[in-house]
Amino acid sequence: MDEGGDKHSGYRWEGGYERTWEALREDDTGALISGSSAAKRLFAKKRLAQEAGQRIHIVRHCVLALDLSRSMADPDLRIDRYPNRAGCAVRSLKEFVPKFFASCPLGQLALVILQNKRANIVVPLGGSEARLLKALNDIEVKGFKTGGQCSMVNGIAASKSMLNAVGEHSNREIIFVVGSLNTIDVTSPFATIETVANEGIRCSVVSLSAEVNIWKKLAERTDGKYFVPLDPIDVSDKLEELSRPPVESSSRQGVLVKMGFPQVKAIPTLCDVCKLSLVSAAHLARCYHHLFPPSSVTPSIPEQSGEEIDLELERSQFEKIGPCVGCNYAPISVEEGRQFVVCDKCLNSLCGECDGFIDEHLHSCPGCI
Amino acid sequence: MHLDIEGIPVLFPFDYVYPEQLAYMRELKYSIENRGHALIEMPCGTGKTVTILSFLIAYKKAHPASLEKIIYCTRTVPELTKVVEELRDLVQYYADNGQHLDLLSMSLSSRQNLCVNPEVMSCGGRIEVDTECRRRTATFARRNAKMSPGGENPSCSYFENLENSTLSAKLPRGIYNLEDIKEFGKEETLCPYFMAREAINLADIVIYSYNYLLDPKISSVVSKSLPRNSIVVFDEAHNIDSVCIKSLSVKITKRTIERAADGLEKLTARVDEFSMSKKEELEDEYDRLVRGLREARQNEDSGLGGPPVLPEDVLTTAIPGSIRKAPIFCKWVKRLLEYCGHRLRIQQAIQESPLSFLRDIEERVCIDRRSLRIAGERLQNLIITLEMVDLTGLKEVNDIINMAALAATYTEGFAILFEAIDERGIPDPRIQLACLDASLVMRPIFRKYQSVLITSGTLSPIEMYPRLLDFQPVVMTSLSLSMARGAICPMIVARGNDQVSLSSKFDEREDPSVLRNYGNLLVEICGVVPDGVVVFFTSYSYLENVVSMWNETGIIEGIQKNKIIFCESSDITETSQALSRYREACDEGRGAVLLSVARGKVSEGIDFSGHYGRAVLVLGIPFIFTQSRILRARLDFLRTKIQVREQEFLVFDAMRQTAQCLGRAIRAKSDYGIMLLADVRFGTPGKYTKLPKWLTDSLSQGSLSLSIEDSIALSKKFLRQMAQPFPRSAQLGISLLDAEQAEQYLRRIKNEAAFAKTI
Repeated sequence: MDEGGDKHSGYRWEGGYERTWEALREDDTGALISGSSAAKRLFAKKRLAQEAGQRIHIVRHCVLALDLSRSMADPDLRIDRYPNRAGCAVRSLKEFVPKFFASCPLGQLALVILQNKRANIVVPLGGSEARLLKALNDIEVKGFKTGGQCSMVNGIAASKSMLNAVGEHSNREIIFVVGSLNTIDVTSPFATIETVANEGIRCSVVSLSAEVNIWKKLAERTDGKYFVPLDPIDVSDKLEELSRPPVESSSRQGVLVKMGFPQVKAIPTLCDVCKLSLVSAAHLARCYHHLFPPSSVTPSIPEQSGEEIDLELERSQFEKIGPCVGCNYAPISVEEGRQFVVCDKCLNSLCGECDGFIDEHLHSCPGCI
Repeated sequence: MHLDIEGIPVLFPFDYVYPEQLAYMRELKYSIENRGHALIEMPCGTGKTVTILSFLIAYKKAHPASLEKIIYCTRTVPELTKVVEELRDLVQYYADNGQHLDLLSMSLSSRQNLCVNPEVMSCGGRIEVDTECRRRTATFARRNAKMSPGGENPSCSYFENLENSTLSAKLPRGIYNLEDIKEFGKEETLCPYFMAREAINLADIVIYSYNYLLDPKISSVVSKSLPRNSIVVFDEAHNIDSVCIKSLSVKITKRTIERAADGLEKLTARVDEFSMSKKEELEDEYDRLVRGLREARQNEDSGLGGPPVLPEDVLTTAIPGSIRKAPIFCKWVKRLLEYCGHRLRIQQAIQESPLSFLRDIEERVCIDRRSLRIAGERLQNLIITLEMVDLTGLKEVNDIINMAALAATYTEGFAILFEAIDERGIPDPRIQLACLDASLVMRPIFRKYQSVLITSGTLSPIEMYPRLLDFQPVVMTSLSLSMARGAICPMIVARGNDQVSLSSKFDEREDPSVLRNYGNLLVEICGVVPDGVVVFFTSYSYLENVVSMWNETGIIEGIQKNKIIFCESSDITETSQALSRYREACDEGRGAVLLSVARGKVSEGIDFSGHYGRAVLVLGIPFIFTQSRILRARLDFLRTKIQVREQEFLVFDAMRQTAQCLGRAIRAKSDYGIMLLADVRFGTPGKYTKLPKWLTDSLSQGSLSLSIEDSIALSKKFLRQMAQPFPRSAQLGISLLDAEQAEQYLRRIKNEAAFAKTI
């Protein structure tokens, strides 16, 4: 994997040694369990609970800085038709972009590519989903060309040139997706990290290789997040986490933002003349759910503490569960019943799938409406 | 937090404790209570020092009568400072908890590190400082200074003040590190060095380096009046046998002889001068010598240190006539020098036993064994009588006499080697008196002090130490590392991707295919591991050969794509330069690889915590250079006298060096690192089982013989796993215990021990 890396066409035998069987898990009876979806639901619940009552940023100006240096040619994260780390990153970013605009309709995105120690602005800040997806598709069409090394300082400089035009009211962010194990800079990266930290630009890093000290420092110092995904699916998960509006932790004063509602197509954007934020009413409406999260739920069959499990009690609890108010499905076993929850507000039952769907996308319980 | 270690209330200065620390304290208690010695191995980065200190202080508080003094020996001055700081934190913690500890803790180092007299300090080097100090503080010098102020002997106000005051009244109790002692000395105008030397007799805790206890020349002067009911702690003691041997070994080269000849000339001139002007003093000395050696010692420090032999072996009889008279003694020394000079004119290496050396010396220059044994003392007496200050040259005379004295005192456990060329093959004739028996030095220490604790992160295989040092420990344990996640990833890389086996075996090490594979391994590792990578080679010459070969085949270029390369060299300043640059490169996110040598400076005592060392590679098994004659002699001795087979010792030594190298990367529990052992021979049970328990616990059966490809895949996976957030709550209860869990843990191991006893 030394020369360039472009030769890797993704044959299975050329790749690393994988232990695919280790992802499988069994329950007590020996049946396979899909651990990830249940874990994901739990995680979403936890997040909602954490965000309750917190101030969050729904006006986000965010630069995606994608590393396309030599190290991104490593085939260790290949998935489907995406042959290498660069492919994996593009794949996940293509999922990220719509999610970002869904959760922050007032937000704007830009794309910067880090390659050959340079940083090229491919898509400037704007609210157009299509333009970003096209740029990402272009990378794919060109065969995920990678080369040279990656420079953090240049990446930050290019991103800052765009973010500096945005007012203080917005949450300014840079999301780095890097595979490089180092950063080749002309000046000391410490000074750069200090400046972005002082300017309040949040830098989050998704490292596709391993935990690299300097990148972690950058994320920690600027109050961003640092992730090292375990596999291609995890890359998407971590980016999804970043697509959600960040919680404001400092006691920064809120500001009133003037907005205009013009009849042009490419909004949200800034007015070229007076820098007024231009949005549409629909965008604002879509931010509404952040202010009013879905009502809380309790499990239909509460988990029993202690060593002895009262099966009788569980049985009786199971029998009380009605069909799901979302999909009308009724549980057929106690095991399935465990997945069910009861909405605290309308007291309707919800199945696990619907509950997750409400948390992630619907943002309100169908029983309550 | 408060801990209760089987009835001893221990105040531990953290909110959480590791299970290994509790186990350690239990073992320590057992050894003190049984008035015996202990050998305990505890993994790196688990807070050994704080464990030892907090328990010993608690024990001393609970049973002041049975533990009078704690003597803590470290290897280097930075380590010493670290220990003192931990002690200071501990005492502060006691104070915060409303308990005032009335402790005096003293540190000691050389004059060079402690002197505050500006005139003396301006001289620079260690020897110069010692000489200048002597010019001011020797008994005769002070007498001279009193009689003729402004003469050749200036006086040192710091020292004079110390002599005129009672130290115990003046010195406030507390914790003193070297800087504190200097500070106090400056303020009170007391000599810090001599104050510290005196104060160690008053102190509850003494912290100094190994030599003050192990080197008989120094310990007979400094440490002779420390009490029996003390505990001696040797920290980082995995190489203690080498330190012991070194302290009794002497090397003499052509240069030594030349300098000694100058020294002797000076001595003779001084004797002549005295026999003209101060004849009566020489006669006085003669009379005293007739009466006996003990009496002749004027309880003064000659500046050359005590006799090299161990206290009980010092002769108490009268000085033989052949060396009693000063001019005759000078001629005697001259004969000895000439004999040594003659023996240096050799073409090939010869090994002699002390006995044949003594016979030869008697036949050729008529020097008998009895006078040799005492000559060192005689020289010191003479120097004191002659009021000599400048000891350049005389140190060498002393070395030569010491060598002969050692040979004359001990007929076993030593070998004398005459060699014409050095290890690199450069002509440099030398005589070496090699001590082969480490127990010679340790035996009096084991006898004198009630408990001796030998501890380190790497003491495996632990059974070897009692045999090498000849003692019976009451506690001998190797503690394992409790981990909430597999934070160390040892792997044995046995093959390249082309199935060529990797080995540093002598006949294979220069094989281009082996070197290429070592190179490929490093290139690939550098492409996978972030920040710092440390590589250990088996020797400097191997490092040089490999790097030049890699340079030709483009491997260096491959490494440089991802990392900057730094190299350890045998020059210390160069190495510390490289080290600081290496750290800088790691900090700035550039990534770096450090090529160093097992047994070098880097492998001992330099820590690569966190991102400074994410991976350690040991390329080949670091066997000691077996062609060395000294080693041959030692192996012979071990085989015949203590029944340790040659191979057994060599493997033991190589594996402890390996473990030291590997341990560099893990300096704290939250740390993680990859450890690659690149040699097919590591995979044999005779080798890897000799590694410390905490390492072998993490070494899975599947990782005993990997190819480069496999090891890279495993490394990638490991690094991603380790980068996941690791909150404290995940460790709690497994590798980190709060007060309640600690109590439970202690109860459990107590029950287990009781259960084991019933079986």
